[in-house]
Amino acid sequence: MTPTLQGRWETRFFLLTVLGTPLTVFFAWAYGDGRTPFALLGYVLVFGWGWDILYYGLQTGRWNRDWPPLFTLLTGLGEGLILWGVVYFFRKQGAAMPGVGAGLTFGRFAAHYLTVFMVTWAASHSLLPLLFPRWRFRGGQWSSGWE
Amino acid sequence: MTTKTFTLPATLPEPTRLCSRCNQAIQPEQSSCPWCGSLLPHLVQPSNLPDWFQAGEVSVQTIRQSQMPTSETTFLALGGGLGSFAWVDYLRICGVSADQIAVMGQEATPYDRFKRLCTYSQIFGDERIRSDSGSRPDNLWGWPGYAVQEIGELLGEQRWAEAGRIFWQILSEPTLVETYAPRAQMVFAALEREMGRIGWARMRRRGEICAVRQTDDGRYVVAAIPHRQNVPHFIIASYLHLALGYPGIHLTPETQAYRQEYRDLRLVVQAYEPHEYVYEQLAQRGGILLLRGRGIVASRILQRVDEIRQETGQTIRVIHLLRTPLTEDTVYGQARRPARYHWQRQPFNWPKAAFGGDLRVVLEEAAPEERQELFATWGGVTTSNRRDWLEIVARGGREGWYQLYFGTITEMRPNGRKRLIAQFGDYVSNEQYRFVADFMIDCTGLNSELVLHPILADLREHYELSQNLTGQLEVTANFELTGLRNSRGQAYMAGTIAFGNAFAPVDSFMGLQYAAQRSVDGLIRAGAPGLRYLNGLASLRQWWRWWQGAAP
Repeated sequence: MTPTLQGRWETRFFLLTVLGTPLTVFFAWAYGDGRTPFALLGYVLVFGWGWDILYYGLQTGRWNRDWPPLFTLLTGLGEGLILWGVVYFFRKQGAAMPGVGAGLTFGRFAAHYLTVFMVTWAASHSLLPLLFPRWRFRGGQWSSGWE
Repeated sequence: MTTKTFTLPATLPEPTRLCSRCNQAIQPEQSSCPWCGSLLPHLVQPSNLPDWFQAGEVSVQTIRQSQMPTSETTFLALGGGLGSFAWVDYLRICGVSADQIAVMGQEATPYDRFKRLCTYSQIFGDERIRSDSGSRPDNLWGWPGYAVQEIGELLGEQRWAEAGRIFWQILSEPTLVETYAPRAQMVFAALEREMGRIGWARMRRRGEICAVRQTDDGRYVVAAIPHRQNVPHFIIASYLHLALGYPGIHLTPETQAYRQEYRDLRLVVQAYEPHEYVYEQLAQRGGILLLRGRGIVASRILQRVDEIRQETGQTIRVIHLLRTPLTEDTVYGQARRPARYHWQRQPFNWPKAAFGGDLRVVLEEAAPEERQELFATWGGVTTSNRRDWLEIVARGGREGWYQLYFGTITEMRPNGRKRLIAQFGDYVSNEQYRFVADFMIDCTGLNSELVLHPILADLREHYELSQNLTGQLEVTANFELTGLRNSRGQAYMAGTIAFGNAFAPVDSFMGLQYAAQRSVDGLIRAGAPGLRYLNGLASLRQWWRWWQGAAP
């Protein structure tokens, strides 16, 4: 699938809400923290919509205007590290990122983030085209069909 | 499909051995006319059909009274090739039963013509074709793609390294490695499986389509001559799909003139004609091969010649003749397609985003004139970005067995000793060069001109259908031929005959699936019977049936 900007936004929304939410429920239960994992999931979604604008801009410089799965893997890991960097930055300032508890360790963050990311990455290359047969022709848009 | 049997009057002559387009003699086993290139050399021209069939609206009562064999169906696919298959597959998965669908075409299986043209152009079963992993005509979802299937098979055989290499390929193509491409045999085997699953044999009628007409009750009637018969059969249908493919192979004027003058079909061949004897002779005796064209077929033939050189040790020289040099990169926006050694390379015949990314949207929204520019920039004659092909050109040039010239052929004639004398004018100096070669292989492709297609040319004339700027018939973004709409009846097109409209890669597996999806969605909106919109869990359920090999 060669994503468009709208397609990126819709795909990210679907994956993080439909698959990311139940996984996050599990981590909230496992960590005994009903707030932090959901706040992080929200940040990944909202920051991600911004990242998508950058990725789409980079795509337009490529002849095929595509985005190999490896790029998604690498940028996904990058997004995670930068999000942790922001959490860390707030802590250094003696503050906390809104919704993020003080007990969040890098290990817990990484376990949650990597699980959600790898499951959604795999689903975007398998489950989504099966659920939405128009998705791959519409650059990742699933919410609407052909006019 | 219900068949009404009548007494069969012998209204048409026996199948002729003259090409229906150029009227010159051809051998029955030839799949294309060697004189004009027609891929439909045995067609009964529409003008040879009964007078009452020539009306704009044919009366259904007249058809019935004609006592000619007539059948009726709801959905009728014309062509019988991969375009028809993709549409019928979609219809079946969306709920239409096999007895409401008929397919009419010349070939025994939907991939016969594709396979034959692949074989002639040296792509045998084990060779990889230029197509994406997810573009699989047997699977409308595209998952799992051919690559995942191949990885699974390799893992089953414990060939870990090869499986890992393909996984890395689909992960990082086309940036870090060359693009994955499936082997031709995988495509055919997967199609066979899907043909069995959807009941293809029950829907298929083998024969030659002669003409299409509207009926006076809001449907269509198609005249076709069933295989090995000589009486036209009429099929009436509510919904029509035309995927008729290329009408001919491209024979350059020089090739046509040479053949006409010397009546020789051996020394000068088109790559899409059978010419295995060329490689057999080169393997036995070596020789000089004159090659024309800079597309994927020329690349593959060059590779085959290099394989023969290395396997047999024969001295084989390739003189590659192109009309013009190509040194400038192609630029679109901020992106660039590089030209190397006078070849343009890209993974597929269009940039990937033209198949489903933002370039698909750009083209759909573009004005007709602007589309022409986009076609010229994104497409053109290109070859795969295979490193081994680039390496052959570079090495051949270094070793001296591959020589590139630019110019136009001014004279070709046999030398009387089963060789060919070719003279060409140099592109810059116009100085004349002369070569004695053993063969010339013309790799200038297939021909899609509308006027060469008897069925489409007749339709355009009969119903005053509009053409786009490339000369093909105009269809909407969902591939409907609106000029042929007949009350509730609708006609759609797919494949190369739908080129020049809102979607560029019509002539690709993915393009056929895209066209199938858009046209079936159009039929669903129009309320065509038996169809359900495919999405969400219903789609997942249908995929599961596909996975299990169960009927839709």
